[in-house]
Amino acid sequence: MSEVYEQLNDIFREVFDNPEIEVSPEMTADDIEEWDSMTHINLILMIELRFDIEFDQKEVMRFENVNDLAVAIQRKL
Amino acid sequence: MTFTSPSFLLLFFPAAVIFFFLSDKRYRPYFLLFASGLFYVFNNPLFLPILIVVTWLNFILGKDLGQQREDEKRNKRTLILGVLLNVLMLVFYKFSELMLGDYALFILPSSAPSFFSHIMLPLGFSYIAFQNIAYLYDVHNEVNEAEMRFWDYALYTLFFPKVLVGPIMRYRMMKADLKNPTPNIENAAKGIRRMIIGLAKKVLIADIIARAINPSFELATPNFSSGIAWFMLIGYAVQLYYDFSGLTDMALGMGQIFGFDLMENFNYPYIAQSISDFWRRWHISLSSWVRDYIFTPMEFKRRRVKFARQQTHILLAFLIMGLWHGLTPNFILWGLFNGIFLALEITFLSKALRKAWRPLRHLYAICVVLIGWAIFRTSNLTYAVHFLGRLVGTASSVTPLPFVLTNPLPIIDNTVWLAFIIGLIFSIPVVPEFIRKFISRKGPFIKSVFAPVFCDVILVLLFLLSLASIISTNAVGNIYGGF
Repeated sequence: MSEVYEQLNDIFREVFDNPEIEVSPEMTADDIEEWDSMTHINLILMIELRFDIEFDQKEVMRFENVNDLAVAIQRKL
Repeated sequence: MTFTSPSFLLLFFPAAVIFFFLSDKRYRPYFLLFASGLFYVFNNPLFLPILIVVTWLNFILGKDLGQQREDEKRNKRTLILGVLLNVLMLVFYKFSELMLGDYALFILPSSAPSFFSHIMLPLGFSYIAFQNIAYLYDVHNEVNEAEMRFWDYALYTLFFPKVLVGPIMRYRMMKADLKNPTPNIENAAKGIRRMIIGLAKKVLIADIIARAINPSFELATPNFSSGIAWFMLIGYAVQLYYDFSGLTDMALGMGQIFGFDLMENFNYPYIAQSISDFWRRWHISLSSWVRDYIFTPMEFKRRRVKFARQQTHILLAFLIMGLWHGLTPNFILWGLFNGIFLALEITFLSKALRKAWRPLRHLYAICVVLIGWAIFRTSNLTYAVHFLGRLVGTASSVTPLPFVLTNPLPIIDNTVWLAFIIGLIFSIPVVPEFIRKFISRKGPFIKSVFAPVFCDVILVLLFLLSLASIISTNAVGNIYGGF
């Protein structure tokens, strides 16, 4: 799981163009200024490419925080 | 019957509130449904059966979506059927509006419009259709369960406070309140205050400005000076905001009185620093609907497309936003105009703006919004082009009337100036914030006793002024309506 978080950290920093981001399980879109509906899909896409997985829309709609995201990634690995 | 009709303010609404509070808790949702039905009947009795049928169809489609989850293909087909049902009705409604308007003369022979005048599609159907679509989509995506009781679904769709100007509510936001609205005296008081503010915004500011500038917008050509053009444009920006947010305040206030927490639709839109920011502050329930049910699904489905993916989706989403307002070229152009700036912002403009001096960001946003309003307001595109030209001082072929002379334009008298200036001042949060800070620094007597009482006295005065304004306009309207 910590590997997932490590990769997520890199991904977040790249997608939001902010090298200072530190992801945490409780983190939500409200915590990052650049994280909105536009960048959200870019984030999902990059996660899919990096982890070589695929999400379906229902899953993505149910993510409430980074923890939900990490758990879903872990399940697919 | 609208929210500013005397019959609504003095009869229907007070009666609805009294009976609501007098009735047993268990029967309150049914009473609200009954009152909503009555509201429709008072507008046009034909509306009600159409709405009941459409609501029932959406309800059973929703139930099917909730119960038949294993068969994904069937589930998807049901969703498409439901969305089509609402979209087709909406297009039909918009098309009949179109046929009854100016464009009818250009498209159809003169006999056609009378056919369409017999087609009466219900008040507020644009809002209802979008709510239904959101509901069906959310049930399909398991964001919420299907509603199993028709009465609760009907109340969700037809709840009269949100029927006139929205907000477009998601089912999960209203679910708890639908089954068990919990009004209380404090919220009811807040609701009444909000309603009065909304009424004043609509009647004492928006309507007064509207009466001054509407005739000028109806002219065949904008043969007035650039001073008048600027007054009209900024006046319209103020009018539209106060009209829409005023009626929305009334809707939210009414909701509060009945124990419902309807979503905010505005957040000081004119202090936006970009068009993206503007759309997070203006008609929030519609822009978030378009984001969640058009933009995001398309983005997700086509996420692997490389070229101009987001830009295409933004343009499409805003095209739909324009079409929702009406099927005429000006709304379509206005939608695309906004879409183009949003697309530019996500491509490179946002980054550039973030480095710019803050006042420039505000100036950029307000200029784009104002040009958009010029397109939005004028149904004739040639007029719009000449109007924009007038703003920058290009002379028309006809000598423009000077600012002082107002015939055939109506007189821009002191009441209009007052409404205009007050409207401008309160469209930004500076003065309200100052007042709030000023009061908070005072002693307990002023804070807890004097200020609230003083505010309520002002509200009573505003209410009486608004009523007086409505009744005097109605009287005038009826006299001239007879000619």
